[in-house]
Amino acid sequence: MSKPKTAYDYISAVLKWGSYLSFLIVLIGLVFYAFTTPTFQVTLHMRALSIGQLAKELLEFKPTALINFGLLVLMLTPILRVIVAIFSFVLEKDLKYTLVASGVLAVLIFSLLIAT
Amino acid sequence: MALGGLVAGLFGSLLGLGGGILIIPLLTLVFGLPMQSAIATSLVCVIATSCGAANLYVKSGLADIRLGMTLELGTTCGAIIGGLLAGIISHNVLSFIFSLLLFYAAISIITKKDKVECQSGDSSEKTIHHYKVENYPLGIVGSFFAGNISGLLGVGGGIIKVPLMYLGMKIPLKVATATSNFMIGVTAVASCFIYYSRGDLSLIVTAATVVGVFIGAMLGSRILTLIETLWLKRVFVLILVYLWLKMMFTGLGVKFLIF
Repeated sequence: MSKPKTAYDYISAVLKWGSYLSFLIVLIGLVFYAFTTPTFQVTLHMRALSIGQLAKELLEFKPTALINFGLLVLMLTPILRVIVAIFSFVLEKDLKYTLVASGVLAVLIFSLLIAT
Repeated sequence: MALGGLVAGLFGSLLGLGGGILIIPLLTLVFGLPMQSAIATSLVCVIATSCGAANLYVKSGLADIRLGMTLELGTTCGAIIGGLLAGIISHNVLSFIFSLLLFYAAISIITKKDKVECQSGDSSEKTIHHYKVENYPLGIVGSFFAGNISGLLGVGGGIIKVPLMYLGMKIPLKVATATSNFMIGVTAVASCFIYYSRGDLSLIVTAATVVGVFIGAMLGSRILTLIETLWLKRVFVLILVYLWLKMMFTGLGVKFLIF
């Protein structure tokens, strides 16, 4: 029971802190946005930014960039979870599931490549 | 919107659904978003729900991460194809397909009602009996299909995966639910980036909804053991049936009475 426990613990921690962190960033961004925008209206047309533009606007402390960043952290959390799973399977010398998890990661990277 | 997300997150975690099944009708019917945008928002919310609930399931050992990883091979591939498909299908057609899912959701909740009740009655001591996973090929193929639905319609797909694992692969219901929840995050990410780069993700809408879902899911997974879910299910089924009709008529472009 103690052996598989490690993988479970690491994965649980990634999911927990990844989601808490992104929640916090999005919340702060949303509060900033509410205070800096005179009339807090929901703009349906404000779209997510490309990575390069996001980095630029983040340095200017734009609230929308902060929100965007928080959402990205959230989207990256499951990917990180898969990477952590691969490492913990390697540590447990579990070859079969190292390969399975690597396969999942490969599919996710493939989806990123199609997207960009 | 945040309130809507909160309700969706609460219902979602109490009934083991991704929450997307409520978020999408809410965003399209009430706030007038195009389907693609609502799906993108819902996918992000689905990731949030999955992370929030799955971390507890993983910690308690209820989610089978090895089984989950294996089936994720199917769901992620399906999700990519679903995500690409959604880009070429029109708003109305997507609404119509979504309405079918709502109908299926209502039916599956009604039919599994008594089964869940006796399940929770005899396994209240929370011990997981040893189980042997059967039918991996069926699991992978079914997961591919579930992932496809997830990517196309922006839901978690738990509504397909849970019966698949429970009935098709002979996995205990609680483990199936927990594992499905664990898989949903990765599945949603696979199609989420496709929507993201297509420019479907609306920032403020998503942020507000996600915050609501987060809080709802956190509350939900903590009060899950305290609450009597029978009435919750009845209310939920009524909501689903209403949304099903509403989305169907919207998809067909027809106005009919209150729908």
